Amino acid sequence: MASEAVIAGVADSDGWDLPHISAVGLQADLAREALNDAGLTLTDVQALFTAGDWARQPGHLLAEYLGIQPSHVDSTNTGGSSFEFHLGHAVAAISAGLIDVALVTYGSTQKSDQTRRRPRPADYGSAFERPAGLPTPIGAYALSAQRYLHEYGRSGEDLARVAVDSRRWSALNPAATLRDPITVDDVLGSRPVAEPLHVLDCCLVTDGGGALVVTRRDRAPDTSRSVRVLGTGQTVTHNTIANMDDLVRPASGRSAAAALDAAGLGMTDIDTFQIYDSFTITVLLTVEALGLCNQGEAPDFLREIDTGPGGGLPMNTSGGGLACCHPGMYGIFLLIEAVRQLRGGLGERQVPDARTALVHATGAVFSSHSTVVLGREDA
Amino acid sequence: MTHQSQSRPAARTGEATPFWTALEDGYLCVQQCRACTSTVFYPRVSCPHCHSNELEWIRHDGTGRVYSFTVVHRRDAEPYSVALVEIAESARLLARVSPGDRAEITIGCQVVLDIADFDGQPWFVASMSPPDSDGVAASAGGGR
Repeated sequence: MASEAVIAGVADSDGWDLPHISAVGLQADLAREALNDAGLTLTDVQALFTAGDWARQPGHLLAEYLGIQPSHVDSTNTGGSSFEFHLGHAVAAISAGLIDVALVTYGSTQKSDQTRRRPRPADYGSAFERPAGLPTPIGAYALSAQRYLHEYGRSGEDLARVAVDSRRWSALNPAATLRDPITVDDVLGSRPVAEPLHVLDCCLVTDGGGALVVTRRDRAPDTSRSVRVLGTGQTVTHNTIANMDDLVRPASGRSAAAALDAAGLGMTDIDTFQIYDSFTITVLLTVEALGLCNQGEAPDFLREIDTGPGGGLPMNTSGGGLACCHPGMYGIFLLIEAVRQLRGGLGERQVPDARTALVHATGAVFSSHSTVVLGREDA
Repeated sequence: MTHQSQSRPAARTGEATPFWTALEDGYLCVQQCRACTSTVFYPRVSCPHCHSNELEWIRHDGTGRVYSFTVVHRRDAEPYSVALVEIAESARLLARVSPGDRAEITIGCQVVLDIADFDGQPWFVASMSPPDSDGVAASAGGGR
């Protein structure tokens, strides 16, 4: 059954290069902006959801910085999909009557402060693969991509086309980092990082942040601007790439089935897709795992249906992590773009009359999956 | 809180000790589940396949098959390859690819695991099995 929860406010950072502010300060700014967008204030907030490696207890720091004492705090970290997990948890808490208003925020200054390059301590499982020298996370996605090319006789061109299509959208988004069109040859000619992936197969490294205000439908001051959370689904399958069951079959379909079931919708009811594009391979495997096409056929399917502007399957309409921004964890930006599409008025990149959106977030090394189905009040 | 030194991360002790000791001694030691017979890697206290806690240590013969691989390009180093090696139906292990085999390695090819030193840390190096050799290559299985 579709939940009574809505996303009533959104905000993201003004640019993706932010040397002048801390990760927590950025979130405080965006929290205020998103609450303002929702017509609510900080004193309404009972629940705080945030994640990242900018604090040991991110919820503590953000609550203290904001000057609130929430009754509900959740710093679940499933990698880039964390915020879709947060939204699922917020919806559950709202449905259970525990809270009325939740803030979900993210901020990162990984580009400006160079923390991206700082090695993280190996956890128990990672200690058994780190000595092999696989760069993470890209090496894991490269292993998956290589296996995909091998199993289905595909080539680097099939991967590259995903990046080419991202630029067709980012060209229409004034806020996107990379807006110049590129060709398949540009991708294949760019610096190899972990074969078969080139630098243009990879998401950007930027700063940035975002915030969402989640509330109960009847608590949102302006229902015409709120977007319903129709369904959510989540799963976690592994931590290390050596322990992923099948490197070309991520579990995206499992979380999507749960989300669509809750929403009472099918794939054909969805007007726009926001699919986590950490790497080009991530999109191909997710599209297949979601069941949008047969295994091994995503490159043909995406070309035929056209995921670009005016196409039959408008996908990653901001330019995504490949072309718009990627401040380490991208999931919150998938949700923000989906909400904006459903609210309408995005100019050239507006998907005409978009009533429903499916967001699929992938975290770490295909480790976690969270799907969110959103819909307009009239969906 | 206690601080662990870089040289002794938590994984080197406890349930994984036989693995690390074997690695220092030059061979691959893995667990096998007595209940479902699955090979288990990395070391655990219970089987991730059937959840039994009846795991026993066995010496692996150090052979496997390449499930996937990648060539890693870093700004400060020569390119090198890393392979995800199937060491049993239910277990994979990441190994560096022997530099001499970098150009030839493919998915599905048989490899033997040797052990080499990486900045003071011994780890596995996958070399392609000689297609038709007398005797078995020296490997992490210790067979000669």
